[in-house]
Amino acid sequence: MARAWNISLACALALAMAPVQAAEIDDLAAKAANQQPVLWYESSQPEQIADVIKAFNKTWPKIRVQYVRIPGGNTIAARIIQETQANARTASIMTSGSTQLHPLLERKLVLSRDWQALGVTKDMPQTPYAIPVAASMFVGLYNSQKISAVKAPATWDDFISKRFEGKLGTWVRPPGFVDLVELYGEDKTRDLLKRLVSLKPLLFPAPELIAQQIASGELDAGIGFFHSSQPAIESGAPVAVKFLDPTPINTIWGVVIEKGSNADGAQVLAAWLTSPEGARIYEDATKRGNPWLKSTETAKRVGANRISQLPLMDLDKNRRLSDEFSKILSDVRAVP
Amino acid sequence: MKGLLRLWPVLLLGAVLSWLVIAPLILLAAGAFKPTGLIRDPGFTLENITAVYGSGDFWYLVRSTLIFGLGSASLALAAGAALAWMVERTDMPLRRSIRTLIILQMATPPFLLAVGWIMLLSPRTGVLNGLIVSLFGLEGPPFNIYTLTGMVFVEALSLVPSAFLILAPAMRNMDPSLEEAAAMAGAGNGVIITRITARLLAPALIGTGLYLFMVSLVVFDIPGTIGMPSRIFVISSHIYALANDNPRGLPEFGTIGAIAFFFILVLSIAAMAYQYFMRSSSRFVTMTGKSFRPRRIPLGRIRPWILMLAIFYFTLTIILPLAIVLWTSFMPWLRPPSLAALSAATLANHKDVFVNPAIVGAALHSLVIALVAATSVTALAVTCAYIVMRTRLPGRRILDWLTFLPLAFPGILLSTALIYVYLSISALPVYGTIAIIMIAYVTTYLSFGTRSANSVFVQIHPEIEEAAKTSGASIAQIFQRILLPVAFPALAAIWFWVFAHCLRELTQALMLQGVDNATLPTVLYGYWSTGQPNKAAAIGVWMMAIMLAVTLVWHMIERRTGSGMKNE
Repeated sequence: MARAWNISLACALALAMAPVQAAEIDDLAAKAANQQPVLWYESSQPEQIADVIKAFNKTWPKIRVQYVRIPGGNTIAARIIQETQANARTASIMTSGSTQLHPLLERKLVLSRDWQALGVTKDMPQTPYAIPVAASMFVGLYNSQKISAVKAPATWDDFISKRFEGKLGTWVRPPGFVDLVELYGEDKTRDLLKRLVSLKPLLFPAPELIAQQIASGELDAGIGFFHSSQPAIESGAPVAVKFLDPTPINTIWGVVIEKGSNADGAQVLAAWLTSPEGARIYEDATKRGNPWLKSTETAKRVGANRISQLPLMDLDKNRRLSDEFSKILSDVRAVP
Repeated sequence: MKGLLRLWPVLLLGAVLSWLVIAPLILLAAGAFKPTGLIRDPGFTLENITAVYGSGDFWYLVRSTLIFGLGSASLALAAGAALAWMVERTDMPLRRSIRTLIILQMATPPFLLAVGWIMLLSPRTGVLNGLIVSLFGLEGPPFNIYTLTGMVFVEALSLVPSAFLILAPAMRNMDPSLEEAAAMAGAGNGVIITRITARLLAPALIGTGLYLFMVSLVVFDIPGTIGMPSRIFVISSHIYALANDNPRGLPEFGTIGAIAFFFILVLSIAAMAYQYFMRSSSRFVTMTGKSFRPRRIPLGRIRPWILMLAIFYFTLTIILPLAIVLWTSFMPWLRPPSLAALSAATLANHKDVFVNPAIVGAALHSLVIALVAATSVTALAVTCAYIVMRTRLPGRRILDWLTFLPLAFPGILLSTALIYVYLSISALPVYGTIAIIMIAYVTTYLSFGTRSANSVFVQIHPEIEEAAKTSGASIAQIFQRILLPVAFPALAAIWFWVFAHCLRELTQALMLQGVDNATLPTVLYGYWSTGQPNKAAAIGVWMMAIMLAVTLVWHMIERRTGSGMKNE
């Protein structure tokens, strides 16, 4: 009975709030209309984001958006800082991981606001500085021709076992393992990583190569990202995905830069990206979905698995573990 | 005042070079003394310098890097010199086809070449390894590409075209009188090659060797593609990690800037060594005022064997990896060649090259950038080499050092410095456009241009120009009527080399990417780094097609002007 009351109350509140939210986003959109374009920095391919912008413009046709791809995504913050310091035109919205958010926060370049007033659901983890647009899911991958479904690895320990010595690949960066710490614990994750390194894995500068190398037969299995395995899988390659429990995720945060061109339009875009429609379009284009929106494929794929991610603002822990795990993965003296 | 007037060429060129080289260098150096490496940030620190040079890891990396650099440069120099000698100085058949094959290799982005070699020599799925195992019944694969030796081998192959293009004109322009005299005195080919040809070519060989060594210290593509997966690091791959994988979110520009001092020191020593050899270069003049016809050494009975050797070399080093790239471009995903895989072949990746507006636009950008940068580098290199090699103007050695210096800049750092330079000058709207990429390429490739042009001027005796001056010719007329026609093959080689490298350069184009200045390699890398290597391979194939077309045009010009053909 109490539950029914709660639901009714939530519905009533949502109905009451909806016009307020609509009014606020409409006001912002009106201010952003026909201004200079929103400048969006991200790491996805331009043609993927072109589809997203096209869909956004169906809803908000008067807000122009330009896109700049920053490959790898790890130099976005540096670029924004350089441009801001020179008073040059810079990004008004960035969609990237938490490591890119922190340097911008430290320099007070990020716009802070009440995102729920723009319709962002409170069910998502969020701060006044950042809202989750999507997430990169760290998964297990294996060659489905070499390994039958019956014998397929299903857990972290299955993947990181002697069976795959010299036949395993992963990304040279450690964020997946850093996020795994949240639910797996530091010691257990460190041990896992050391066992992984002892198996002499191939380490790739781009995680997308892992699936391709599995497809080619060079590797039997790998630990990589779901979205970066999709091009190979969609083209028919014998690569299978296994969502492991816990599933580490690396959230892609939508961040608006205060001094960016057309910051009003950027807020509308950020809010739209977290809406069911925006999230679906973004997921279709980039294969990275929003696990906090039940309507996304990503949420369905994660299923009952536990999501593991360090809290956004736990900066010190994130940096300490990233430093340590990077060293374990890519020690320059590893091979004499 | 008169002195100033006399100095105007040095001053003018010095101003241009200072803008291109010194401005980014100052920013680069300044970054090393900033806590964050970002030069507009507050603070001053020596921590970056002490952290780098006080670290055992760094010196360990120096050791691996020197092994890698010396190994690749020596191998590339040996192979490039041997090929240039065979093509330019012997009567080996199919010389022009061989030259085309070597040049064609330059159009292939090195990381694609590395992927090709992984597919050939990987211990698990390498096609060549598999073939050798089945042919000889071996128990395990004989080769492993994921080793330092594998990295040296592939890097050397990628440097061979550069060695060839610097050395071939030098060999072509050699006056054969000394060799002929030796032959008349009864010296055999071996003695002539080691005691005369090699010594005549010493400046070009030393200059080329130093150049190749410096290039191999800063390149990332092959160490990143082959070394990184197997945890073999050199300084360039370490710099890549510092720029892209820093858990603190910002590239470690300060550390990278500190490391750059090491490159600048090594390069300065190399530049001094180079200038020392050049100072005694009058001993190596081979093209004098007398007319000559370069002598081709008859190979006699070993002619077919030399041809077989060349064919074996090209099959192994160029045709096979390029065939792998071609094969990959027809596959829907990365898979080794096999009859079973043939049924999955598709033209979709190639169709996409022509219908995708992003690729077409990027191709146009790449062509414009390559044309402008190649022409600018050639013009600057010739002017600079003339001043350095032909005049006694004060400051000419500084000019030469300035043109050599960009070789010490890792591409990542040069781009960062250029971003600062052009962000600071809003009146010059080049930031985010193709112009900033052109400027980066002119700066980067100037060192190659001037090394090559210097080698050419060493070989042309000043008496030709002096005779023209005595007859009343102006400097412009000497350039137009004597130097340019004589040096045309070498200048064309410089232009061509820079064009090819601009067409395939990736690191700086990525760093300088704006809203609408994508180039073909950035699009190619975009596909590669998002798990679509087959689309990337298709773009690589069409880049090679562009290079082939430009090579054919070059040959046509050579044939029409007669340059380069006089000794065919």
